[in-house]
Amino acid sequence: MTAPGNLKLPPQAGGGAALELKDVTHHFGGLRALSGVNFAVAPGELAGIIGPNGAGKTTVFNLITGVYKPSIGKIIFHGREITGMRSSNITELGIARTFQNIRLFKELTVLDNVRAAHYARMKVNPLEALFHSGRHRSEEKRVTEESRDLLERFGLGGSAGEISKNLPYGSQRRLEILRAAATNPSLILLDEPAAGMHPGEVEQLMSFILELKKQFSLTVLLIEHQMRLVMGMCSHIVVLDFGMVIADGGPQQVRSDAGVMKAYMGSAK
Amino acid sequence: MDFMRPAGALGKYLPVKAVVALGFMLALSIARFNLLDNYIQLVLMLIGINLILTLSLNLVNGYMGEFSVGHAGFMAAGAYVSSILSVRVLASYSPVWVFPCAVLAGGLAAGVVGLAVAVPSFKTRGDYLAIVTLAFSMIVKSVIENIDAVGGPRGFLGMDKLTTLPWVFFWTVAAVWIIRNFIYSRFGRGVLSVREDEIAADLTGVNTRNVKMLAFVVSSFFAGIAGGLYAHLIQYISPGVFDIVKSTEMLVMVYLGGVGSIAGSMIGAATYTVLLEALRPLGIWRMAVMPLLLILLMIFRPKGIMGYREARWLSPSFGRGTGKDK
Repeated sequence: MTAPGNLKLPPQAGGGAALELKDVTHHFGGLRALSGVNFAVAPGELAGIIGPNGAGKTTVFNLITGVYKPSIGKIIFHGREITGMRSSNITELGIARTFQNIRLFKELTVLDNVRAAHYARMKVNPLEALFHSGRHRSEEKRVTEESRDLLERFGLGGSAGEISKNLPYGSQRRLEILRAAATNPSLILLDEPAAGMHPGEVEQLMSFILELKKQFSLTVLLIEHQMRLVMGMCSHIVVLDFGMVIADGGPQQVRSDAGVMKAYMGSAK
Repeated sequence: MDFMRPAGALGKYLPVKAVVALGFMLALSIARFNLLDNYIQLVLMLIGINLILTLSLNLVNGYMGEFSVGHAGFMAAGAYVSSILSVRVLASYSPVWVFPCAVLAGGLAAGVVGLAVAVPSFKTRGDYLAIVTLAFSMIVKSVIENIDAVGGPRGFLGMDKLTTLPWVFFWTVAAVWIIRNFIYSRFGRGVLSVREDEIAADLTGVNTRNVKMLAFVVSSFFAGIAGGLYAHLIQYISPGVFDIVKSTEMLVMVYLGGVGSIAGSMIGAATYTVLLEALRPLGIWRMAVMPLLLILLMIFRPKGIMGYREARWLSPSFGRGTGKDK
């Protein structure tokens, strides 16, 4: 990556937050998955969403990335409304994500997983691709070098040629995060990045995320169940329960919130 | 691919371009001096045409992971458009120019038809393409059957035998080269990522709808080219030629050779064409071999001989010195 800083979307006048959800409500048929969700993530922040199973955390991610269109409400990214846009366009604007259950391009090599993420930013038209023109070749060279460099810097350089489904679990998690980073985002959404990892791996993952955040000057929003990771990393925590925001603030504030205690422990006392 | 190493070592001394030039010269001289029996030449040309069809279908079914069962419809479009052009419209011009123009026009027409099929069927996600393409090939068949101007169910003839070994060789090489280029490009990776996980592809910035349309148009273009070549080889086409059996033949060749592999398509097309000829003594029973082969393949080798693997000499980095995948 030559210029990790995102140049596509300069923070627009007036739009202070990197991401803002305004009164977002979503129904699946008769089931209300989210109701009136409001929260904002500031640029450069490392924010976390926590909440019991079924609280609607992944639904929030699916709404932000355009997998679903919210029934009601607005989603604003750097002052620009992205509600209902096509997923690939939202990614192009600078929001990348990973998935709760890893969704790599399994049969492709590690390198090709990362190179595929350059799709939107490659300046090659279909005819140039069909006839392998000079521009195709120089773009391929650039993308390959950048992808190798990214893998190299984040410890996967050695397995660039491997079929990604053959990687060990932890590396698959990392590759998925790197694939997201390769789209050159300014905001990255991580859905339970530490799921299934033991404490030592979680430690490594935390420094991996922090390093990535620093190098790409990212804003990070993550969903996580491992309290140690959330409390240790996030400066801003949003707590969801039954599709509603029940707390929103710093780790200390959330930890002592009566509503949060009730949601997790069953009772305030 | 380790088992392809010997071919790779050979390739150092025999650059692909030189082999292709040699092959073209050979094809020219075989056709010019009748070095081979006419029947053998016919079989060679059928292998080439079948290879183009196999590559075309492999792009959609193997690389993109969708399932088209109506590619005979695109072949029909190419065959009829090119035949009508060469017999009715361009008949007064020299065949040297008529033939390539007619075949190319057939391919372009099939590409346009492909786009028309792709636009509505890719609006939805999932497995609807199989049903849409099946219906499409039936529509093509009944439409042609009901147009009297092109012979209706009796078929269309009057084409000169313009398809020769050098022409088949040229179009086959063009198909291999262009489809390989497509696969090893920005769009090719997009197509592969759609096969692997369409939602994840969208969320890594791949415009999946555009990529799918593009692949489908390229695929139907080459099916149309194969149709044009076929029409000017057999010199007779009828709606019955392009029915579900033809589409099934293409499926067998793709799944025999290997999904998502150009080398596999070559193996599949050659093996199947030769096998079908060798089984001629069986008469109509040889047609039972095809479905049987498909069933056995699905059970024992669902991805085919070369499934998802590629010969090294087809990679763009081959012969550029570095062993790295560029």
